[in-house]
Amino acid sequence: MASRPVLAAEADLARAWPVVLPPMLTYLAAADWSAPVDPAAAARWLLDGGRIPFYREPGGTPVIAVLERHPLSAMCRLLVLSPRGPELEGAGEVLGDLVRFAIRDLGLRRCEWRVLAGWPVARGAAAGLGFREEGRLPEACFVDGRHDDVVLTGLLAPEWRAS
Amino acid sequence: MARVVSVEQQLRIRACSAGDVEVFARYRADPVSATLTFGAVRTPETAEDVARFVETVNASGHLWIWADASDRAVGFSVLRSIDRLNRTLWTGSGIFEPDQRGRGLGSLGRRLVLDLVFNEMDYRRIYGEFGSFNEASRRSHLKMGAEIVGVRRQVYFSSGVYHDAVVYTVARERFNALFPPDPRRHLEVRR
Repeated sequence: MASRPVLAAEADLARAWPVVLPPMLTYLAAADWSAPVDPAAAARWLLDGGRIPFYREPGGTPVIAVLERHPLSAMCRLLVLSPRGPELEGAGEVLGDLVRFAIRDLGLRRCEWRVLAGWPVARGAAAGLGFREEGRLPEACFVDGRHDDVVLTGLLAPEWRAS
Repeated sequence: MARVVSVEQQLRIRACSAGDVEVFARYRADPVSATLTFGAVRTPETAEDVARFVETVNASGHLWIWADASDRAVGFSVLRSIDRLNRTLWTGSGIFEPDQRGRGLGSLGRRLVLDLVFNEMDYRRIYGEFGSFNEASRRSHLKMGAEIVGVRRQVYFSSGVYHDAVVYTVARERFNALFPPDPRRHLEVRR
């Protein structure tokens, strides 16, 4: 049986941050998550400003999953951080937990997730949950020596319920 | 009655000052202007609320004023989500007075801002979005070399109806092909 997501503790976030941040630095910037570099400041940032972070360690790999509510409307943005980005085994489960929390528990009507075009596991996980590719930001993120596109994906609550 | 400003008049880009807050507050309080720009009517705000908004924008990005020859604020641009690693940013803009829209001012202001962003600040690309109902904005951005790259579904909400947001990008190379900068424009020795 899959484990339920656990709300992150500040100490877990600060401990995982030095491992999680470096490979995701340009992605965070491209996906409009202006996170601090300092671990303690990052942990406070993840717990602040309408963000709800979850933490788990599947197979010993730290994974931070974050839901950020829009300040005015019933929408949210999602973020999945790990040393391998969201290209980890079980990415679908992590994302699925976030979406379930957003739509079933919080009653939000729209979720957004930005993924790199070069992340097939992440894009597959999103598609499996009913996310649609709504657009593409060309050359938005420098990764592996070149500029990659960022894919804008969106999911409306009725689509998730139907999927 | 507001004075009509023609596109032949010189516009210049300057920082937003305390004296601009009032015109910006009027703009945000106007339901049509707010919907065109923010995709929704603003909740009632005090001048202090608007001043705080200006401070917040300037803390992480830029709020620039398009000023006419007499230094009167006629429009603005917001530069946000400034990505200094990947050298991209998001822009939004508007013209303060409704009777000055549709005269080419918006295109001129955007052109000045994009020239500054691309050719002086060294950003590679800009992104932005406008409501799917905003044809004037679509036309103006296409004039700047914009390429439509997506549609975020049901993100704006106005008069009880959800609207889509059209996402666009402008690449520096494309913009400069349309509006070639003079590479010596700031190298002339003033006598």
